[in-house]
Amino acid sequence: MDDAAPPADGPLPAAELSAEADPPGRRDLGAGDPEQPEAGSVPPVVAVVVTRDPGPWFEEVLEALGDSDYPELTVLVLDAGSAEDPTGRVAAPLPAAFVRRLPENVGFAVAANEALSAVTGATFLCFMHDDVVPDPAAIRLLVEEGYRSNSAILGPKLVDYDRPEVLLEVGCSIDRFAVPHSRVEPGEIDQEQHDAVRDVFYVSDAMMLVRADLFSELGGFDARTFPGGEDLDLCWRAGLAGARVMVVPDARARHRKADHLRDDADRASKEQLHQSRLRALLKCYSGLSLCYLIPLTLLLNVVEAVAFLFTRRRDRARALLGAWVWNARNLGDLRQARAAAQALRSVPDSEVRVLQSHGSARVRHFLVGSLHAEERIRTISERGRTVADSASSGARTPQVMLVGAFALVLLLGSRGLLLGRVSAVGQLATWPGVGDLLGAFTSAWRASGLGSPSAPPPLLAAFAGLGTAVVGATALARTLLVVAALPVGVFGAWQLGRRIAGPGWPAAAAALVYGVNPVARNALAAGRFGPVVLYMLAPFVLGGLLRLAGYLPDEPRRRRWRSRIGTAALVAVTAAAWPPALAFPVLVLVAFAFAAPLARDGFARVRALGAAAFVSVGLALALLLPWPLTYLQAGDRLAVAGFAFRPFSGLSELVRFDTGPNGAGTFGWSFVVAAGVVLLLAAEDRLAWTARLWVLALVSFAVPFLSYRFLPDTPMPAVEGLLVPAALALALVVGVGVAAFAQDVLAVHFGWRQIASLVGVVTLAGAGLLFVGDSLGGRWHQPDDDWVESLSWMHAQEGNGRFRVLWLGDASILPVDPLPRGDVAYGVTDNGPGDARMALPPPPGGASALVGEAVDLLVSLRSDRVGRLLAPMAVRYVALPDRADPGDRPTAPPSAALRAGLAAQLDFVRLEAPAGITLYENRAYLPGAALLPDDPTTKGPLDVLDAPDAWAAVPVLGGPVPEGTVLWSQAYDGAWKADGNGDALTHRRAFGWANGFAHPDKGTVTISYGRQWTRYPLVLLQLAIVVGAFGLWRGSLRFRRRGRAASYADRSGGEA
Amino acid sequence: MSARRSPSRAAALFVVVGTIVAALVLAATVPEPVPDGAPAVGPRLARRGEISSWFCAEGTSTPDARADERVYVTNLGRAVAHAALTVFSGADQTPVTSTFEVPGRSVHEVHLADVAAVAEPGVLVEVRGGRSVVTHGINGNDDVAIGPCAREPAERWQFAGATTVRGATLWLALLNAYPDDAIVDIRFVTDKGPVEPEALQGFVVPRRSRLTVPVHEHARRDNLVATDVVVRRGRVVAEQSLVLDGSDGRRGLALTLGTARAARRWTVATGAQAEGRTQALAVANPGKVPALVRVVPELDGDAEVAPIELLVPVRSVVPVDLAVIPPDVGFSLAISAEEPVVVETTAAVTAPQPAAARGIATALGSTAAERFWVVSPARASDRSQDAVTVLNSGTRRVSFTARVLHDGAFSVMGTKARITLAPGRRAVLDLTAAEVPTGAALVVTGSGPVVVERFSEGVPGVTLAVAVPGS
Repeated sequence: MDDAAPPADGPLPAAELSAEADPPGRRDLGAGDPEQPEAGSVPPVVAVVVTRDPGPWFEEVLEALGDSDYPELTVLVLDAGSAEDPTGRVAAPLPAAFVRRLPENVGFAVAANEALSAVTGATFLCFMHDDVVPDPAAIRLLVEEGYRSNSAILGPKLVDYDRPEVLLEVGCSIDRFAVPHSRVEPGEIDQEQHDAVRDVFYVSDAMMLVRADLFSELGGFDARTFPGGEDLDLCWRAGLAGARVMVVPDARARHRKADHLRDDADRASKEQLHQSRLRALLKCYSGLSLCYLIPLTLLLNVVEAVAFLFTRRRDRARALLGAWVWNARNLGDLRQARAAAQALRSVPDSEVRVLQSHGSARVRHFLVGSLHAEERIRTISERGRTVADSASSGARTPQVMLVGAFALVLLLGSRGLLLGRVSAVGQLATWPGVGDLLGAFTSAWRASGLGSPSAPPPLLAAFAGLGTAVVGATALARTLLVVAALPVGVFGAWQLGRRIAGPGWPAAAAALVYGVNPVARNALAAGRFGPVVLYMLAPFVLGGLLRLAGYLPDEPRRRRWRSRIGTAALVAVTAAAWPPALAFPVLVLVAFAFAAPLARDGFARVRALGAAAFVSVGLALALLLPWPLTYLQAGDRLAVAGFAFRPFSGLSELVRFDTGPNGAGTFGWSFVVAAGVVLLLAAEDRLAWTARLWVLALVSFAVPFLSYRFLPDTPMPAVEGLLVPAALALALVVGVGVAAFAQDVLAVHFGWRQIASLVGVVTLAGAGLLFVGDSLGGRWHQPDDDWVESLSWMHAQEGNGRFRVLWLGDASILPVDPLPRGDVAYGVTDNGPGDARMALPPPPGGASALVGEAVDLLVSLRSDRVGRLLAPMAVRYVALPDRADPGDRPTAPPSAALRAGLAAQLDFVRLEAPAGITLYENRAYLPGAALLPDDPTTKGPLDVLDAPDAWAAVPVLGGPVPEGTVLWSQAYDGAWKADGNGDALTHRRAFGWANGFAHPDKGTVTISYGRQWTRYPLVLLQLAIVVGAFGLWRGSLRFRRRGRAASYADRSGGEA
Repeated sequence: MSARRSPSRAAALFVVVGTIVAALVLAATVPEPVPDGAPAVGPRLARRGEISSWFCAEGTSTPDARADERVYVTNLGRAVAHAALTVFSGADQTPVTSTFEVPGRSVHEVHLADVAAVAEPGVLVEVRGGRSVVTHGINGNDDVAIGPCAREPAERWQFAGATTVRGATLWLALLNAYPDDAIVDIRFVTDKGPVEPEALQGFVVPRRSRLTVPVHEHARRDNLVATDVVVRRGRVVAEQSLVLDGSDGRRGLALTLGTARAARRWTVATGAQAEGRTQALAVANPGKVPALVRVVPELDGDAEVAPIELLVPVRSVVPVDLAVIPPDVGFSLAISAEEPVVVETTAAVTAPQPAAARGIATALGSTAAERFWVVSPARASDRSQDAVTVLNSGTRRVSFTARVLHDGAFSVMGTKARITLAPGRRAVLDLTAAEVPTGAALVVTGSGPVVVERFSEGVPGVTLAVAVPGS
C-alpha cells in the first residue's frame, strides 16, 4: 500500500506514448494508418476502473489487470465516493496503479470523465466497471483490433463471471426508438456462435476501449444519460462522428454484474433507463429523422403505457411517459448537448441505422419479457421440442386424425359464410357500425316499436366491442362470431367431456357427437342467433354448474368464487343473446333432481346444484342490469323474452333434431340410439352420469313436445334453443359410453354388449355422413340472400321522411324479433329492413301496443282503414313474406285472412316486390317527423280514421318548415323537447299517444330527448358491475397463482 | 363410512323407456290441427266493433239518369254509428265525402244526388260503431232494384243470367275505391259462345274512380250473357244493371252484385210462375271442365217435380227450363253441380199484371245458409208489396223469428213469434200485410241455417235480392 502512488488532483503522468501514435484530430478520428506499432513502442493504454464500495472480487479484477499481457498498461482507479478508501486494496495487487478519489458518488459517467483531465498522453482509455475480470490477452486483442480495423471504440465478449460458458453480451444494437437489443439470449451458451469481429452499434461500458482523442472530442460520457444509456450515447455520438464501434469476441472478460448488490444509486431505475435512452434519441438523430420519430416514438410509448396500465404495471407506464416529461424539463441542456453531438456529425443517419435492429425491440421484449424470459424461453424451447415430438407422433393417432377431419369438414362447411356473408335471416340481424351500436346502447330512448325509455340490451355493447376488436369491421365480427360458435361449442363439449367421461377418446367422442348434431346448424340456417350462442356456451355453463355443485372432481375452495362469477358471466352472455337461456341452469337443476334417485345422488349434492343454479342466474341478472328491468314493463313480456314461435310439432322430428334443413333423415335417430346403448353398457359412476344426462335430454325434449301437446296456441322459444341441452347431454352420454366400452365392455367376453356397441358406432357414423353432406353447400343451408338485402332500397326513402316498416307473417320466417299476435307475428323496423339495434325489443306496452292492435284489426278483417291508424306511427311499408329468404320456396304462407285483410285496405297500395314477399305501401303514412297543418294534439287515437285522405304533411328533415304542429311519432314522453327557431315549442300529446309540438312560425325544428343524461350513469354502473366482476374473477385467479407459487416454494424448501 | 350405492340400471332403463313410451302415446293422441279457414266473402253484417266498408258500384246521381241511386245504412246495434259516404267518379275528380250518424237500431237513407251529382258515381260507405248493413237501390225505367253493397274487392267477379236482346242495355259498373290503378280482363260467355273483346282486355280502372262498361255494345243481341271480370292487378268491385225497354215484353231495371266465387251449391229461395210472372234460371260454367248440374225444385204444398239435370259445357251459360214447374205454385230451387258454377235467376212481371207491379229483377243465388239475416230496407216503398222468403235448405227442422227494426227498437213481426220449417220448406212473410213500416229493416233469426230473400213488387217495379247474412 505504501508503494502506491498518492492520489493526485492534477493530470497524472501517463505512460509515454510512442511517436507513431496518431495525433488527435477530428477528421482523423476513425481514419488514419492502421499501422502496427513497432515492437517495444506499443500505444499506452490507461485502464480506467470506476469503483464505489467494491466487493470482495475487486482484488481479482486488479490482479487480472496486473496479469494483462499488454505491456503499456496503466491502471487508474477512480473511486466515486466509497465509504472506505480503496487505495490500500489497489496497492496490494497493483502497486503501480493510480487512485483518484472523488468526494461523492457522482456516478460512473462523471467519474469516468475524470479521465479527460486526469490522463494525458494515453492512446486508448479502457473504461471498466469494478466487477469485470478481463482475460490476460483482452486488452491487447482490443488494441490490436483497434489498429487493424481503425476503430475507435471496441468491446470484448462479456461472459458470466461464475459460468464463463454463458454469454452476457457480444456487442449491442438498438432499434430506431433507442431501445437496446442484444443478439445474445439470456443464458445462451458460448459456442463461438458470436465470435466474429464485427461492427456493432455500441458496446457496454462494463469494459470499453476508447481512443483517448475521440473520447476527448466527444467530451466524454454524457452524465445526463447515466445510468442506463451512457455507453449507448457515447457510441452513438462516435458513430455520428464517423468512428467505428466494434466488438472483438476473442477478447473476453468475465462480468459479475454486481449492480443488483448495490444500492439504488448505482442501479438504473426504469425511469432513468427511459430518460437516458430518450435523451440519446433526441440528441443523436438528425432533425429530419426526428420529425417522424418523435411522434412515432411518443405514440408507441402511449400505446405501451396503456397496455401497462391494463396489466397493472403502472410504474412502467409512468416511467415511459415520465421520460418525455423529464426531457422536456431539461430541454435547455438537451439542446446544448444535441448541438454538440450534431456538430460532430460526419455521416447521415442512414449510415448509422445500418447497425440498428429492425422493428421494435420493446415489442420483442414485451412478448418475451412479460413471460419472464430467461426461464420461460428455456422452458418454451424445451417444451416446444417436447410438443413438436409429441405432435408428430400424436398427429398420427386415429383420435387426432378424426378430430382433424372434423375440423376440416367444419371449415369447408363454413367456407361460404367466411368468404361470403352471413345472411340476415331470422334474428341474425346485420350489425351497423360501432358508432351506431354504441349510440344505441348509450341512448336513453329505445326506438323499438313506437319507442320507450327502456334500457337497451347489453348485446349492443357486446357487438360494439367485437366490432372494435376487428377495427370497426362489424360485418366481419358478426361472421366470425357466428362461424366460431360451432367450434367453440365443440371445444366446450370436449373440455366437459374430459371431466365427465375422461380424457382421450371419450372426450373426443363427446365433442364430435356434439359437433355433428344438426341443432346448431339448423339454428344457423334459420337465423336463430340466441340458440347459436347457447350452443356455443352451454358446455361451459353446464361445466361451471357441475363444478360448483361438486359433481366434478374437487376444486380448491379458493376457486369457488371464480367459478361462480365465471359461470354467471357465461349465463349472462348467453341470456344477453337469448333471454330464455336464463332457464338453462334451472333446467339442469330440475333434470338432475329427477335423476338423483337413479344416480344415487344425495340431497346435499342436488341442493348444491340448486344453489349454484340460482346464484348463477342471480349474478347473471345483476351483470346485465339494468336491462332485465325492462321486462317488468307493461306489455307481452313473454313475447319479447323469446316466446314467439309456434310450438314445434312432431315428436319424431324433435328426437332426431330434425328442425330444419340440416341433418334430416333416418340417421337422426343415431344420437338417441347410441345414447340408449350406453344405458346397457355403463356401470358404476358411468351409469350414474348416463342416468343424469339422459334425464337432462328427456327434460329438454319434453319442453317443446309437451308445449305443443297441451298448449298448442302458446308461443314458445325457438325449438333449436330448447334442444341444445338434449344435444349436449346425449353427446356426453356417448362420451361416457366410449369410456364404458373401454373399461366395462372390453373386459368381458364377446357378446351382445360388443354388438350393441357396434350398432351405436355405426349409427353415429351415419350422423357423421349427414354432417359431411350438409357441409357440401358451404353455408350449412344458410340462405345466400335475405330480405334485408332485397329491400335495401328502402334506406334511400329516408330522405323523404323517417318511416317504419311493419313486418307480418309467421314468426319462423320474419327477419325481426317477432311478437306473436294470435296466429300471426309482427315486428317493426325503422327506416328500412332494420338491423341489430332493433334486436330484443322491450315489452310492447303503452303506445307500442297500438301496433299490435292494428295487426289484430288487419287479421280479423275488422277494418279497411288500418292504414290511417298506422299513419301517425309512420308505418309506410307493410311487408308480408311467405318464406325466410327470397331464394327459397314458400315455407310459411300467410293465412288467407291476413292476405284478405291486407288486400282490403283502402290506403294500401301493393308494390312490385321479389317473389316470396308481398309489399304494401301505406299511402296515408305520415313521416316520423312531420309538420301538419291540422293540429293532431286535439285528436285521439281513432280520430285519425276520420281524417282526410291527405294530411298535407311536410316532412321535417332539418330545413325550414311552415307553421303548424310538428308530429313526432315516438311514444309520448314528457322529456321530448323541440326547438323552433331557437325557442322551445309547446309539447302535447298527439293522437293520444305521440308527441306534438306547436310550431307557430316558419323555421327549422330540432327535436331532442331531454333525459339522455340519465343514461350515462347507468352505463357507468353497468360498466362498474362488469369491471368489478372481472376484478373479482381476476383477484381470485391471482390468489390461485400466489397459492400455487407458495406451494412451489414449499416444495423447494423455501429457496428463492 | 357407508359405501355409496351403485346406480340401478333397471331404474334408469325404466325411466328412459317409460318416458319414451309415454311420449309416443301422447303423440298419437295429438289432435289434428284445424286447417286455416277462408275468410267470409260477400255482403255480411258488420261485427261488433268492426269498422266496415261497403262498396256500391252501380247507380247514377244526376237528374233523369238511368239508375237514380239511394243508399240505405242500417245500424242494428244500440250505439250510434258514424258513417262516411264517399262518392267517386272519374280519376281526375276529387271524391266527395259526406259524414253522418246513424242512430242505434235504425235505417238511414241517403239520396246520392243530394251528396254529389255525378253521372257515374261509385260509392264507398265506411261505418264505425254499431253493427251495420249497407244496401242500395236504383230507380229507373219505372222500376226499382235494391240489393246489398259489396264488403270487399275480389280478384274475380262473375255474373250469369243477363241478356242483351233487342231492347236491353246491360251495364257493368267497376268501382276502384283504392289508391292504385286496377287492370282487369272482361270476358263474356253467351249462349252463342265466349266473347273476349280486345278493348276490354287489360282494361284500366283508375284509382278512386268508377267506370261503366256497356256490355251490350260488346256482347250484342245475346239471349244470355254471363260476365266474367278477372282482376289482373289492383282491386275492384263489379256490379251489373240491366235495363229492358219492353221490346221483348219485359220492361224494367235489375241490379246484380257479382259473386267472387263460383260454387257447387246454390239456392234460390224465391220462385213463382204465373200468368204475367216468369222466372228464369241461368247457369254459367266459367271453368275448364263441363259441369253436370242438377236443379231440384221444391214446391210449396205437397206437389213434387222431378229434378232437372243438364250439362253446362266449358265456358258457357245455359238456361234452365223451369216449365216443368206448375204455375201459381211457389217454389224454391236447390242447385248442385259437380264443378263450380254461377247461378242467377231473373224474375219478370209483365202484363196482365198491374202496371205498377211490372218490372224485372235479377239475383244470384245464395251459396250459404246462415242463422241470421238482415233485410234492409224491409219495404221497398210505402206502396210496394214486399215479401220475405225464408227457406230451410238444410236437412233438419228449423224455426225462426222475424223482428222488425224501426225507430230504435225491435218488434216481432206479425202474431206468430216463431215459425218452424221442415227441411226443404219455406215460409213467405208478407211484410205489407204485417204492416211493416217503411224505413224499417227486418231481422230473421233461425235456430239453424236458413236462406232469406226479399221480393218486392209494385214499388213501382219489382226487385229481388238475397238478404244480408250475419253471425
